[in-house]
Amino acid sequence: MTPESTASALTGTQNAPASNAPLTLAEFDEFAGAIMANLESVIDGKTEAATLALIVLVAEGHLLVEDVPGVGKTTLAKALATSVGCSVARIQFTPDLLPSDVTGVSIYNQVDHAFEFKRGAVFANIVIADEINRASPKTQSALLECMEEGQVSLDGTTHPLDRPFIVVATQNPIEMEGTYALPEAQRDRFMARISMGYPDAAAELSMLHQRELASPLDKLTAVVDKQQLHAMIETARSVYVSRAVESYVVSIVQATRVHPEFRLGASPRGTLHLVRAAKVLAALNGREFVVPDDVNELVVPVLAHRIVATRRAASDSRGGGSQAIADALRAIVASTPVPLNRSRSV
Amino acid sequence: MSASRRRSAAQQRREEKTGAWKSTLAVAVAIGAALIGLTPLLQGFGWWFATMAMVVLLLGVAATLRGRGVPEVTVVAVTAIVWGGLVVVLYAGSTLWFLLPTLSTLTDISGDLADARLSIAQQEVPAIADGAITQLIVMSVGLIAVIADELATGLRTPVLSGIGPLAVLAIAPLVRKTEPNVAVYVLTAAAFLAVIWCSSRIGSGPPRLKTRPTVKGGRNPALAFGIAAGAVATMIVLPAITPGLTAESLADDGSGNRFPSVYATGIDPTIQLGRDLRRSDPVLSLTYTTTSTEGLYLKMVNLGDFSGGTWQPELPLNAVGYDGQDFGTPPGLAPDVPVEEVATTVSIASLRSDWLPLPYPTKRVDELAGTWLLTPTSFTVTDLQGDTRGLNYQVTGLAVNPTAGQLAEAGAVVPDAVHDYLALPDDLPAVISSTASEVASGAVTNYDRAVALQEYFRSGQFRYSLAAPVSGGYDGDNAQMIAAFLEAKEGYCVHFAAAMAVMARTLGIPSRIAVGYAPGQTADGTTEGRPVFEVYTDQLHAWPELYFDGIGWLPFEPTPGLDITPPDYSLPDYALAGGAGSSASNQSTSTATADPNAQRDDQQNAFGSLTPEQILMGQIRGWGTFAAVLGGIFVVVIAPWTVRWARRRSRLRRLATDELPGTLAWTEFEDTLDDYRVQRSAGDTMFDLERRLRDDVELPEPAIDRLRRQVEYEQYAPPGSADGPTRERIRSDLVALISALEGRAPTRERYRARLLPASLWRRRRTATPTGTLVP
Repeated sequence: MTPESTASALTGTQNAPASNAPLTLAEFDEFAGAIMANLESVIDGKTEAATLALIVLVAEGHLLVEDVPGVGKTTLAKALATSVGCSVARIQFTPDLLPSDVTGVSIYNQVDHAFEFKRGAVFANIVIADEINRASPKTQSALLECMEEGQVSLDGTTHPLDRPFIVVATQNPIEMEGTYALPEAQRDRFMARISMGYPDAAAELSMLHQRELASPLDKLTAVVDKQQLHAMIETARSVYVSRAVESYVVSIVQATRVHPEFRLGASPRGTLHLVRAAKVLAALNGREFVVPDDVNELVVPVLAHRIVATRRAASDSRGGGSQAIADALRAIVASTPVPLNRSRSV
Repeated sequence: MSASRRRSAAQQRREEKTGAWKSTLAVAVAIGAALIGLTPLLQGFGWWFATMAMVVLLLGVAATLRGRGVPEVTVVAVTAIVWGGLVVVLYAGSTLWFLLPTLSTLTDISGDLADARLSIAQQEVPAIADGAITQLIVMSVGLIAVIADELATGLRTPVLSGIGPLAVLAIAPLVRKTEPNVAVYVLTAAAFLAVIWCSSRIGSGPPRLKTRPTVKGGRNPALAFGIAAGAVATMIVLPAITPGLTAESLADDGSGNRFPSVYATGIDPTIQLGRDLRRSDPVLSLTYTTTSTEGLYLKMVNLGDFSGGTWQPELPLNAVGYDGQDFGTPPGLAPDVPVEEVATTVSIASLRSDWLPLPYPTKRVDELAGTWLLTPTSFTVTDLQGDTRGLNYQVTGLAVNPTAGQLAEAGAVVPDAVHDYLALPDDLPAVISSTASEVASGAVTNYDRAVALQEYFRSGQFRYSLAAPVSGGYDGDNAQMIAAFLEAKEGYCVHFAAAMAVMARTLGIPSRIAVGYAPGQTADGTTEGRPVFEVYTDQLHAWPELYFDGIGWLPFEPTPGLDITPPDYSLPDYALAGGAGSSASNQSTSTATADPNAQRDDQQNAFGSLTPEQILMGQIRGWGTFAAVLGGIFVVVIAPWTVRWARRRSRLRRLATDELPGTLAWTEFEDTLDDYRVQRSAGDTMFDLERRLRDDVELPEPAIDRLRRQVEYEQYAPPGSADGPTRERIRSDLVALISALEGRAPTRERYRARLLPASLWRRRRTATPTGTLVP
């Protein structure tokens, strides 16, 4: 991709080349760098969270951002959406939100004497589901079904969602009163969960200066159009995963299922997500193949939210359940032998 | 996920403690089992319990300290101090307040060590575990146990710890020439395998210099077992293929002129006999019953050659295999001399000799087990195995009963066959021949002269003394010493025998010295109605035999003060009394003596019968063995280095052709890291390792980065992707990394890494993490 075409991507969203031909790693890196720059301009000192958001975006997963209020969850989700020249919808989940508000509704058109499908908020490339745990389980389910199926079924009609389709859900783990925490089965549908964490002093200071006049979000423009995002997705998909790395992933996931501190281990979908995310990370690192390091880096964000710790482990750990799970996952990674074939034949 | 991975840290620590205890216990068992191998050498079991008490105490201290999480260095230091303290307490009567060693303590220790050395050197096996020997064993085996335990439990190098039991086990085959005790070997080997097993199961890898998580799954019990099996095989094979390797060729008894009787089989039995003789507590050598009315001299070997001025043993030069045939007519025995057959049954108890004790003259030996050689000229029987213990055999001997007339006529001429027994050195001191002619001046026949010589020694002028020749500086049997003995008139059997034999030669009577056992004394019991004679180690004896043509060799008894009655015929009144038909015979010379202690004798100067050339040869052989042992130790020490070096060399060579050159180089790099005990975990990715090496070890970054990327390409990239750096580049990177690792290590660590390369006994990461999958 040339600088000119990048410029066109920045100005007009729809006139990019239509081909989804995989990019070279250099092009991939260029786009990724642009998106990262955008993300980092709005959330200071959160490179890890930003990278994970980008990985989930390119891996076509869904992202669960979980943290206390005011640390930039929604900002990150918005910045991600804005950076990519795609349609963006934002749903503020409230207890009275109805499933039809999410998926859409059939309305009788008195002019045409026919039912007409009014698309819900979910018909967008990037859906920001703010405070997803505030909605009723029924509404949550509607969204989660869309996430899994990539389509909306209503009155016997299937309405496919536009690709890419990415849900960035945020959730506040502290203020739990009157909320409906996502059940394990539904958390499993998110590719990764990230916590924003508080910014450090320097980052918080620079944030003060930046936001004195205007929200940095307002200055954000799309740096990648839909076609380019598709191309990035295709590129990431074509990253090679060797058998050795595959079995490495499998042994890590299987280890979570027998770990004494876990009541529930990671699902096979977790395995799938881990490999897909690792592919993107490999591409981000400028490699056309996955190495165990890519996997290791993603084990905690990709697997942790799928795992249920035993009560004992959760109460033993100072940081509560999620801290115990992260520690145990890191221990599993540290003790799983990294595959190294001494000869080609093995 | 294997079970061990899932354990909590606390559990792991607990298991590590239990594992360390088990390992230490296994070491103690292995040492104990190996110690049993010493039983053929030492009598009783007191020494075993004493030693094991020491071992258990020391290892208990070490294990307790480890159980409390004390650093390994402290464990070693404290155990060593305890050992040192116990040594001081054991040896010291002269400590300050029982604790602080004083200067005289050190003197005591060195004195006791010298005693132990002497005691070991002097005793025949099985030796009595006297205080000195027990202390030495307790001390040294205690130290061996501590070292073995440190190797197995502390440093987790169980294969090396086998050196401990091996050292203990090696003593017996080295000292004895007999077959190794297979049961003890198997027991020790089993205990040794248990050591390896326990040590490799302690939990985490070897303790690291830094306190980082240790290597997981870094042990390879299979490899360790393989090496151990090889070591055990060596243990068994080594003594078998080096029969010459005995303590006799290694040790020195303090007299300075030992001859390695293993090499010199059949040359000089007096070495072993000398040691028998000097035992403070005599051991039963043999018993016999005989149809003779009196006890018998049992001769083993003749010292017949004095031409060089020193008495030399007769070599079994023209020996023939002995298969129960008749010995033939004794040399010089005329058919008209009355003889009667004497049947004797000999049961050998603890005597170990290359020579068979036989009465002279023997006609035939029956029921003799083993392979034996008969020297027809000297009537001595020898073998190559040197182990007479436990033998039972029947001797048909002759009692020669010459009449007084025959005695008077005998020995007038000296046949050519025995002319050698007249040989004298040119520089024989005049005092010997002058004394001889003076003593024999009144005698007419050769027989009379012989009787006069014996009478001269027994007349009261001479005194029996073990000490006088040593203090007087004439302890030996060469010509000068015999002259000195004649001046001093004090000595023991060898001096009397040698002096009388030499003097007889100056008078023209062929003579030689017989070495063997005095007749012993009757025991309480009887066998088939006949008295049983018991002969103890201190009844070793030397006596002259004189040749009279027509009768043959007749023994005389010039040594006074031993309660051995001289043969009747050798007494001055025998001829006068008419002699014939009396019970005198040249076999039965003595009535049983009541007090075995009265027969104390010493054979020490029999060693003096070796020529300087022989001594030199012995020393050369001794040094040769010493060099061989040193060489063996060197080979053992250098073996791991060699294997490691060869492995590296082979890998560097294969770098040029291997299809995964980066991986090969990385494998070598990881091995080198292991050698230098750089922290590494199987869960580390190569990048993790690289990062840590960059930060902690400061290795050249571009080299390791290039190498790591190459390995990643080889391992994880789609087949056929672009090649990375050239093979030369890989090789130079690897060499740079290795030299950087070596360069940053202190000299001591570098030597340790080369001599004990840990990568040789550490399992490499497996290709697929199958071990972690739970079905």
